[in-house]
Amino acid sequence: MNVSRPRRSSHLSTTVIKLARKAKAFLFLVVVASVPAIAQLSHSGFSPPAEIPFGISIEEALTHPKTIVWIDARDENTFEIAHVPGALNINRINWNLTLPSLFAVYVPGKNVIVYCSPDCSESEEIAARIRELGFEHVFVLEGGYAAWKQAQRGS
Amino acid sequence: MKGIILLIIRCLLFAIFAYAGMVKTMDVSSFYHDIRLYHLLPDEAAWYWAHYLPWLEMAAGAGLMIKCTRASSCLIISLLLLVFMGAAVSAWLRGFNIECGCFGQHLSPSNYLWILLRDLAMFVGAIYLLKSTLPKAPRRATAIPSN
Repeated sequence: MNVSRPRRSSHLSTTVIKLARKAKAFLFLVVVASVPAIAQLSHSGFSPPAEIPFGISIEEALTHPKTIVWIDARDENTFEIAHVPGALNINRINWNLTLPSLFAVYVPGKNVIVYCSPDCSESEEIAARIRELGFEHVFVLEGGYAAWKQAQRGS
Repeated sequence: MKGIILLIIRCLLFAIFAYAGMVKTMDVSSFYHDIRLYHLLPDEAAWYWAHYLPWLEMAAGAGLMIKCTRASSCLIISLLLLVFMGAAVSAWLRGFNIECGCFGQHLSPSNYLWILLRDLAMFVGAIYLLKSTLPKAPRRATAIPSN
């Protein structure tokens, strides 16, 4: 019985070829993914939407001469428990359903103030989305609903 | 049996990554905001990443179903999962109460432990799949019957 040993060099070259093929496939996937991404970027713009840090304190909000449209960006259950009187509940989940209510009450010149819980970030996102729709004077309430509640206790 | 396990892992990873990518592609703006909340990338980079990542996820997911791109897809998925886990850990350690942005829109804050366990399970699956696609080492000796 002969015992043949596969040559190490030939195995090495085969492995290198296989790995090179895989590297090619890796690059292929990376490039393939970038094509639609670039197309999408060219549609939505190559730079991010301008961030307008429009935070507003509760004192400023309540003393501002313009009337306010309050938007509660928290989830429906939390909104049901308590909210600023007259606030609209617009969040990421019900965005499409409730956005018309904003159009119904908004008139140019009004302030739109979005709030959520003190440690949340939904208000910033909802405010950014509303600004993207072309609304002006859109603010995020600093301290969220807790700040409003505190102001009510103080007054 | 091993083949069936590999097929199941492949199908699961394909479904998860294709779905995750598709959902994000439909609302890039939200995904961009989700990425920004991690405070790991500058806005410009977050904007590009928000556009690129969903397509990369879909390409990697689809690549799992094609033999010649399978290993590369596994590698991409493993690297992405490492990035996701790193981001989740960093947000957790910094005490952020944010959404993970993994599968589109959710209002509830992230359960970091669950995210990490889920990503870790997928990572293990992807590595197992990757290992099965790599070239095998030669046998030490092959016995050939003599004539």
